This record gives sequence, structure tokens and C-alpha cells, in this order.
Amino acid sequence: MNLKQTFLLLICLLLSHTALAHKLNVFTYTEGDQLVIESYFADGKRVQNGKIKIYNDKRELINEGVTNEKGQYQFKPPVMSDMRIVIDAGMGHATEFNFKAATMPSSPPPTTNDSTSTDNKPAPASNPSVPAIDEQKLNALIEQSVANAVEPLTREINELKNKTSLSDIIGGFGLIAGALGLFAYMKTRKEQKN
Amino acid sequence: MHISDGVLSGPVLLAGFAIALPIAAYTLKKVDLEDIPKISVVTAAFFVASLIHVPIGVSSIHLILNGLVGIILGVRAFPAILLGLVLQAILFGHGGVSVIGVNAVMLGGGALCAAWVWQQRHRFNFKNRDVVFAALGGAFGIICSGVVLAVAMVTTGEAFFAMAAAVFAYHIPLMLIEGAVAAACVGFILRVKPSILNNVKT
Repeated sequence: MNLKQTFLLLICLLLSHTALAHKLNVFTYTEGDQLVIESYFADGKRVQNGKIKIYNDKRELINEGVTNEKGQYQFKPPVMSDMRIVIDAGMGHATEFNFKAATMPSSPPPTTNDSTSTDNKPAPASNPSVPAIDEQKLNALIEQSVANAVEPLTREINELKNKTSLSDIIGGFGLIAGALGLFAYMKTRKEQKN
Repeated sequence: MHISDGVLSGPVLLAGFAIALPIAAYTLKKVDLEDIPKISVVTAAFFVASLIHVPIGVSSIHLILNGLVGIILGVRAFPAILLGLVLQAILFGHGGVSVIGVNAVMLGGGALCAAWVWQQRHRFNFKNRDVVFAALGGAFGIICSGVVLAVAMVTTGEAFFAMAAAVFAYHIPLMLIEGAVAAACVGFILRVKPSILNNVKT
């Protein structure tokens, strides 16, 4: 059966091409007090000149702009709150991304050198011999290096999450066969009744 | 080629469903029992085609195959494409659930246009007629889909000429590729099992 061979070939092709073209992926990270938004098509191509709109948790537009040639757009959010990021790459390709402030490894302080910014973190006063200002610097340093270390991991997880899995494809085949089988079954029943 | 969620306005999305559902219901009535295995194989091909990349310069294009689906299935291509789109939206996030109506009109409409072009081959008689008409059908399916895409975007509020130009530029390579793929597939089927193409009643 040659059709069978053709579809085996199709599946083989799929194994090497498991990305989706023209589906948009969004990735965010912080750089100091800036929020960097990176957007790329599932085949890895960067979204250039994509229109970006950012809404805060009260659905108000807080920032808008255009991605650069690396598919990046960065801005300084007034507060690190949950945000909804909408990217329109044109030609009917758009995506929404819900940014959760809590998932960021380091949330920049709302005001510079404000000692209350370390509120939720474990009390840094474990070592009294180090002056307070150094502790703050140290905290910032640790947070920054943890953020740097975690970034490629988050990126990888994000890519994995957006990958098309083979089981989805095979499941899709099954659903097609099932749906049409059900249709055939209903049709035969109807014909038998008549 | 698939329009994503959140691009089109509400009325356009509703209009998509309002147009797609009656066409689907009507074309589904034309399905005979013996067509079903063929429809399910072609639907599966359409379903996975969007995942295969064809690199074009720095960018890449994925196959749509709606023209080829129209050539092989005739009017039955419409429910086949609708089912494929539903699964692509749910399983891969390709397109979007709210846009299924518009996408079905866009790609299914293209398939119906391709089916019509394919039927016109009977009026002519020359060497390689079927392969030539398959290429025309494959390309024409994409053109029709491009027109529907432009209409959907313009009615949502995009500037007409900019949009039309962008759609045109974007679809020319796709049109050539789809035409070539349709011609190759039809040529292959004609050599191997021509009955697949012959029993299309429109």
C-alpha cells in the first residue's frame, strides 16, 4: 500500500521537524529593573517589528512598542505586577502571554535602596559582623547571579513546553479515525432504519 | 496561514462560524459511506502537513495542502479541513479555538476553489493535463485562502492596500510550492492508484 508508505514518510519527517512554524512563543526575563520580552516563531525565527502591547492586572494599557531585530522588547514596568503581554506579528499571527510577577527570580525594588524591599525574604541579619549596606549589595548580587544561572533553564523549559509532542500527533490521527468512524457508524444506523 | 486567537474582531469571528457551519453541514451530507476511509487518510495528511517546514531563505513556510485536499476529496474537503483545524487548534495551539470558523472558511473555501479548478480539466485535452490542473488547483487553493485572509483582516480594521500587498507577497512562494506539491502528489497517485482521483463526485 503506497499511501501507507507515504504516511510513514510523513511521520519520519515529523520526527525531525517537531517545531511549529508560525506559532508564536514568548519568553520574559528581568534585567535590573527592566522587563525583557523575547518573542520568536516556533521555528526559532525572531519576531521582528512585532507590535507589543502590555496591560497591567487592571486591564489598563501600560506600555506599547515594537520588537527589535532580535525579537526583543524591553521596558521598565512601573510596578512588577502580573501583566498581560499581547504580541501581534502581522498576517494573523498573534499571541498572548500572561506574565506572573511571582515567577520572576528577582523582582526589582520599586524604589532604589529601599530597605523595605527585602520584606518577604528571609531576614538577612544572620551575620552581624557584615554591615547592612553590604548585605543589600550581596542580596542583589545573589539574586542577579541566580537569575543568570536559571535563565537558560527557564528558556529550555519554555522551549520544551512549546514543542509538539509525537503523542499529540498520534493522538490526532486517532481522533480523526475515531471521529470519522463514529460518523460512519451513525450513517449506517440511519441507513438501516430507512 | 492559520489566523491566531485575538487578531480578529468578534463580529468577524462569528461571521466565520456562521458561514462555515452551514457549508460543513451541507458538504457532510454528500459524504458516502465508502468515502470515509479516504477522507480520514486525507484529513490526517492535512492535519500533519502544517508541522512540516519548507525553508525559504531566512524564513520558513509550512505546507497547507488545502488545494490537494480539495482535489482528492471534492466538496467533502470542507468537513475534512474543519476536523483537521479543530484538532490542530486543540492539540497544538495552531490557530485558535475562537478562529476555527474563519480558518475553516479560509482553508476550506480554498479547498472548494481547488476542487472546482480540478473539475475544469475535463474541458481540455492535452498531454499531462491532470498534472497541470493539479498544480493550478493547488496554487488556486492558496490564492483563495489568501483572499479570505485579506478580507478577514480588512474587516477587522487593517488598512486595505498595505494588507493586500502583504498577503500577496507572503502567498506567492507558498502558492508555487503548494502547486508543485499538488502536481507531484497527483502525478504519483495517477501512476499508482488513479481510482483515488476518479471517483470524485462534486
